[in-house]
Amino acid sequence: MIIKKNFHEKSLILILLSITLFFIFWIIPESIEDPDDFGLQDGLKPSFSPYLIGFLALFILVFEYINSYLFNRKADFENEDLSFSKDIFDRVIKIIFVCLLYSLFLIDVLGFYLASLIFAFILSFFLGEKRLLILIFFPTILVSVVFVGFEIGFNIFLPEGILLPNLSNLFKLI
Amino acid sequence: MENILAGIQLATTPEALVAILIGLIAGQILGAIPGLTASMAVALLVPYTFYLDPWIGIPMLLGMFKGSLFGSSITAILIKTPGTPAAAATVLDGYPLAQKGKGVKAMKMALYSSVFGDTFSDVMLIFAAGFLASIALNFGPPEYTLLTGFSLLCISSLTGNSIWKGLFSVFLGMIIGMIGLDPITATPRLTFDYLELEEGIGLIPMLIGTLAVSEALRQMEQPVKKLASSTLVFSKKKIDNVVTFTELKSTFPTIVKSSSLGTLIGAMPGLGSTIAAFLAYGEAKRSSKKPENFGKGSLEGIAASESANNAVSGSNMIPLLAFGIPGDIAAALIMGAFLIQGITLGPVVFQDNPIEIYAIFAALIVANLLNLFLGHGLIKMCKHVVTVPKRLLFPAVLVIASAGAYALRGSLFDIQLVFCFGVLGYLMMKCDIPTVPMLIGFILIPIFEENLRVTLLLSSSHDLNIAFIFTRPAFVILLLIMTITSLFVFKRKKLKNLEKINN
Repeated sequence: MIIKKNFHEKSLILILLSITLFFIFWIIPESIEDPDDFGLQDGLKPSFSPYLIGFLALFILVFEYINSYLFNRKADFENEDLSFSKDIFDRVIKIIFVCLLYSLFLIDVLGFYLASLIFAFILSFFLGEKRLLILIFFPTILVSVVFVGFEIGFNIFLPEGILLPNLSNLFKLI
Repeated sequence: MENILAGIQLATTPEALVAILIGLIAGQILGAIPGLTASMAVALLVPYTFYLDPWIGIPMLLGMFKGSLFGSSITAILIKTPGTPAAAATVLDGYPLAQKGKGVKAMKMALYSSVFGDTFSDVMLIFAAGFLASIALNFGPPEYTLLTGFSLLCISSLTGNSIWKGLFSVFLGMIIGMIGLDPITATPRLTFDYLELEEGIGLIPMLIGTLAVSEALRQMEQPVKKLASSTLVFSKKKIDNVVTFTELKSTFPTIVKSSSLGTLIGAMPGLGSTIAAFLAYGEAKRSSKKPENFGKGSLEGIAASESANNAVSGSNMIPLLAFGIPGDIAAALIMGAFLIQGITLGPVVFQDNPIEIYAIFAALIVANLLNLFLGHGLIKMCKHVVTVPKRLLFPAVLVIASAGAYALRGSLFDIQLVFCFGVLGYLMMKCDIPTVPMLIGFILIPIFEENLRVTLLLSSSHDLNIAFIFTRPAFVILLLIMTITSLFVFKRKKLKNLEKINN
């Protein structure tokens, strides 16, 4: 188990190291344009702090990687469940996919309430709820509570989406 | 004195009292639901406070936090599922006692010691925060740079199991905090010309995503069959359902000692309630006349862990009110609620908003008293609360989290951020990287960066010699205090690690 933990820790350091290098050598230069002739006397360039943090992170990761080899130090992982079992992986991927679909696409297109109805239905089903009555009533009650709380209670209008207003306009035209 | 009276008046208006009551009830119920942690529950509520009058929203939030802390100890006692990591020490004796049919007795002991610990640390907060803030008013940019840098170092080193992971997490938070316009030149940084990013990442979507959504994802990965179902039996004997005066008297010294320990630990950024609870538990066991009862259902064990972890909640507001630095996630959430109300916490707040500060103090004390009475009610209905099925709970959490994130700025982008941070937080949890340093790094980076850059700018008037900071007495004294504190804190951490290895 210790060997497995050490392997996981070293792999993790390498992954983070790659991300940090990518951040320092690509993200910062590509996304920050420093004003010309701007130096210490003016309060430092805008890219100063990101570079400082990036290099500090790089230093720590390199130090930790060398340290783990030189002293064959035991990994700090306390989490016993380091590897995803196929079952967990499948479930998590499905859940994350549904969550991202809901936040990136469904709300925008269908509007908050309809999207939430579908989302709560699918997610409860994934999580093992098989009773059809509950699968129908639970999302309906949930969405109704959110509607009452927001639109009536706080006067906050949640996204309407693109589809329904356009459809109603279409019907009006017809 | 006028300000104190006005503050008390503000916190005890009928509206504020009702808000505290609602917050406490909601917090206790949410905290008692397995899977809903105290910080997760409060993170879900923070955006809604924006739409309420500040003196309804803030007392409600304070009440909710206190209620959820007690609520989370109920799940620890009844179903061995601590609502917060801090309640893990409560499981050690609470659960065995519940198994003996004395669940109600265990919960009442937890309630009394929680309320005592909380009130004790609130009183300390009242006395310490103002005094420290008056000192902090003399601080300039070099002192603030040192103070925030030290807090970030403490939080990253002491949260989680590994120093490098804590540091990486804090750096990640700082980088995320830099997205948006540069505070001095207004140049876009790390935005890739994406307009939504120029406003910067919102604190609330980040808090909700990292605290609530990631935790929901972690719990949803569990097999479907692992649903909470209570198989507990409650004894009908009266003696098993009350804490007698003799029991209270015998545990009182432990409660006082643990509350003091919790208060001391809470005042230092980064140490947190988990360390406080376990240290107090260990100390109570060491000094107990019956150490053999610990782990088998000792009331002293429950009293020690509960009073210590609740004492942290009051005293971790000391660095927040005195210096504007949140010591842990609870303080960060409260800071977020104040920020959306337009109040920046820190030393100046004692000058600019003295009435509000005294009102917070009064609200904290009132919330403790009400928590004591309402806790009794919750104990009676807890058998029903702890059996809410997770397969329905988490979809509801995610929908409410999305609505909450949208409500604040009316931006769909914030809902997307909530889920992105949820996935990021989940991955960090799986890699054993603590998320709390990331959040604190995100919150503190504007203060740290601005003061660091102004300090460097000041050095230009000293021929670019940065050593000028050592000519400032406040800086040198602060540096000395921090060195001594670091030695003490790191020695504690080392001892904790050694204990872990020995066990």
